[in-house]
Amino acid sequence: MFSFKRFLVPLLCVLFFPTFTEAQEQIHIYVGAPGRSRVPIALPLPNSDLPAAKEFYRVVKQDLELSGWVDIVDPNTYIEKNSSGVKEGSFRFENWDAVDAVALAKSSLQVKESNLRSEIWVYDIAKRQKLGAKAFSASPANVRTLGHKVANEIIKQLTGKDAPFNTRFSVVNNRTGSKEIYVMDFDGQNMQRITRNGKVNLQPQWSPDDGKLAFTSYMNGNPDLYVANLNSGRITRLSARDGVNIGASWHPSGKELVATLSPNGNSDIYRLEAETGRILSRLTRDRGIDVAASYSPDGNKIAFVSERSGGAQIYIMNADGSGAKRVSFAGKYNTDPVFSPDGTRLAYVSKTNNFDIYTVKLDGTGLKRITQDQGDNEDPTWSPDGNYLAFRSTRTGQAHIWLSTADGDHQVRLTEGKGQFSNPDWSSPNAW
Amino acid sequence: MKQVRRWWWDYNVEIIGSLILHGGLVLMLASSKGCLPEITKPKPVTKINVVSLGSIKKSKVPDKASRKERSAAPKASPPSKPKSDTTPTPPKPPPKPSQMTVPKKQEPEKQKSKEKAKEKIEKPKAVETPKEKPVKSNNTPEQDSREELIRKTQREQLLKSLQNAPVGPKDREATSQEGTDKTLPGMPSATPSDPILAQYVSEARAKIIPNWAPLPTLIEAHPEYEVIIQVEVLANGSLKNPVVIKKSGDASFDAAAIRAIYKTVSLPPPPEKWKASAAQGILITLAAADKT
Repeated sequence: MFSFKRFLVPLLCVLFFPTFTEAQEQIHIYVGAPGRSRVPIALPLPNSDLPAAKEFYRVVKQDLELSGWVDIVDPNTYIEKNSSGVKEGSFRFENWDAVDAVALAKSSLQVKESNLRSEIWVYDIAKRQKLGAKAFSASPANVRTLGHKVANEIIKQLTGKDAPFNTRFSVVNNRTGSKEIYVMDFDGQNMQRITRNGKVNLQPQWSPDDGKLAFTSYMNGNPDLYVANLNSGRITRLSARDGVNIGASWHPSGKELVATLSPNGNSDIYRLEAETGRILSRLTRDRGIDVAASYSPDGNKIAFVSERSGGAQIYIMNADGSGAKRVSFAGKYNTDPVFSPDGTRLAYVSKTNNFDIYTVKLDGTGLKRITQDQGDNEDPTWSPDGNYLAFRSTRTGQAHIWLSTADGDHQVRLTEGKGQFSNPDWSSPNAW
Repeated sequence: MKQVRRWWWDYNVEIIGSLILHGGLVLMLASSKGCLPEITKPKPVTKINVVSLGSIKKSKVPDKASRKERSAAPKASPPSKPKSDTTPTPPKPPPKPSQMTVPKKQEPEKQKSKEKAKEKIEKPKAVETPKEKPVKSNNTPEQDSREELIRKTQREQLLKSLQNAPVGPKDREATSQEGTDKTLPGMPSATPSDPILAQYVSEARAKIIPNWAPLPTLIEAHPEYEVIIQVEVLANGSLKNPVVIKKSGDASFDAAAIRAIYKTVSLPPPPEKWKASAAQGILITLAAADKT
């Protein structure tokens, strides 16, 4: 006999089963590569009784904060102060578990054979493992340099990347009433004046060996090119031809430069011999103005600005002047191109409302805006590792040198004090 | 008279119907957990309330699971945090990743005895952990230091449990056998088809990622690393009962993943349609690399 009940129950099961399963779908959030998330680290005071320890610590801490790579966990939350040792076994990892940090950077500072000596030990707290350790020394007068080296090493151990803390900048500053060339440490400290002519001096460029600075000066009324030997202090004239002699950029060999000259009335790019200033060749011959030449890191390409297509645009040509190709297409005024250290990108300035820094691949693709209309942002220069850009910015009213990560995410001011800063050029590590 | 043959079930329709009904209910119950094999999986040994999360106190109606847990272990309930109403960020000292429970993986027979021993050690932590968290401003320095000591000890124990997990290729083989995307219960595809859910996932990811900060060298060396954490999301977005479902096998990476969840504190309130699902628990994968 047919019984409806026989079918009813399985039917209900079949009908309701999918409804239940659908309602139970679980949300899944996938969080991939963290990008530039700041790694929380513990940075206790150095294990030292020396008065210089405070200055040393201040330099290390400031460098790390400038880097944009780390967040230094508040030292007030540290259980262990600076009394314990830096080496494995000389302190208790358990004391650092309570600190909300991924890594621990312990340093020491001692006097050894009349020099300052610092050891830096970086640990992975969760693994109770040393990430790396290194010792550095410097004369007592160079405690800041020692701090920069230690900060470099901490970043190296945490990220595997080089940091630029032990580099210098050449800059222009008008604090004396005239625009003079200075060199300063990465953090804007230790400024040393190079020119003292009381006139306008511009666009200093480090030679590849960091022993010289080429710059443009109006010291004799005309914009001419000079080279300052940083070791001897001697300044020699490179080019003082009729018309302009401006914007020198060193070939990686250090034996020649490119610059803008106008002996025939029109501004063009020329190759000059570094030793004598002799013209080696003329690289551009079109009717428009060609300026702001800059060598690629391998010396095979030259980026420059030309108005051959109307407004000022960025071009790249071979080192012999052939094969010029336009790189910038957005905007009507693009200038000051500089190659990244790996030669894959250009940083340049583009005028929209204000002047802003952009980077772009050599084929014109991958345009990235670094500054966002915060005052005028000009004169970009790459860090030797290519991870940062420095530039002049007026975002606080006064013109200062600012630091940005190469992606533009993290921007901080480097310089303090009097005068307007401009024309930064980044040295290689351990420069003069 | 021809006798009609009557089968035994003709006499017992009601009994059979009842059996089928109950069988169906069991099936539904099992499926509601995601998939049938999962029902046989060992559940996390314990779940610990994320007592440091500022918004937990605001949840007026705790879900069944938490009520059950509280009745079972009254000491494990989150201590009151007067500051949580005004400050969405975790109070200092910051929350400790070690408070999360790491459920044991299904491992070869040889390891089972060790595992049981570990479970025995770990169980008390669930009861004790909430003790470490009360944030009382009136504490004497001695009380503070005592609490600090307890916190340290517990963190140490829990970190050890993370560190004791097998590390290296073997571990990763094991986890890949377990599977992640395919075998985890109800895990949807990478991009949810529901646009509302897709938007929510995107907003939630944006909230987590600033706190996701493992060592850059680790990411560079091991792009395959990932940690999966299940966490209940209340209607107001606050997080509760995080449990590590899958470890990377690297103590440092695991700790960074746990820290990311603790620091996030709360996610955006889930969309209405997904509130029930979120309250049951969402899965968060924290990976060294973006999904290809």
